[in-house]
Amino acid sequence: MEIMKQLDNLDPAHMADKMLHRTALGVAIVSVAYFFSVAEFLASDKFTSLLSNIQLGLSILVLALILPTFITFTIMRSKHKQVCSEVEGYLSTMFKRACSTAFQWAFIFLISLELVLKKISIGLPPLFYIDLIIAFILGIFSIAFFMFTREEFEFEEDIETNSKSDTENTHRT
Amino acid sequence: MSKQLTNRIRVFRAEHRMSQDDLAQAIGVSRKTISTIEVGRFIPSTVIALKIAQHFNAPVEEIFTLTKQ
Repeated sequence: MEIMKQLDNLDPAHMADKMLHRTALGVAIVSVAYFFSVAEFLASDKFTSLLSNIQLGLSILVLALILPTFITFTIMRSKHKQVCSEVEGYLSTMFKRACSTAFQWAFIFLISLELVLKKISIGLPPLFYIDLIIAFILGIFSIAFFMFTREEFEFEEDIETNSKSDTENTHRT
Repeated sequence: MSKQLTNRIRVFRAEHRMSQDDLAQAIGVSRKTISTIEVGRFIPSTVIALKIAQHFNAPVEEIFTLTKQ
């Protein structure tokens, strides 16, 4: 019951943004995990178990990162459907823009990979290429998302300072 | 600032003695959305622009202005 009271005090729009941010972070970690999976095919046998353990650790990290926020967000969404399904906000727009960027680069990468493989035969199993493609696409998405949203952090403090000074000036007058 | 759109949200907030957080909660968006709209990093949707105008009880054209190209 106390948990439900705490949930009532949380801002649903802020939780929606937090969910998006955590999702992007989770995608970045999953991308790294897939790159380690790709590395497994190229590494010698003595490193295979180490790489597997690293992937397991990263999987647990993703769950620990996203699951609490996801549960909180899901409970909040049942109460504040209209706000939590906000599709017009800044972060949700940047999220979609990052998805679009990843989609474009996916095609470039796939076509490039096809051209390379037609000329060079590496002799690796199909799973290597699937993991490589997934790692690349997820990596591009997360890089794009954090690049699109990075300047936000440069401006945020200035805006708060200015807005407070604007409000103070209004109070004085 | 966006080259296409300027806004006077900060002026209206100051007149109403509202913080970005207050305005964000009033119209159901996050504070980041409001702050990025104010500096022109993000062009709001029609719905958000209308919600802001409705909250300040002002025409949307008074708050948002298309810049002449």
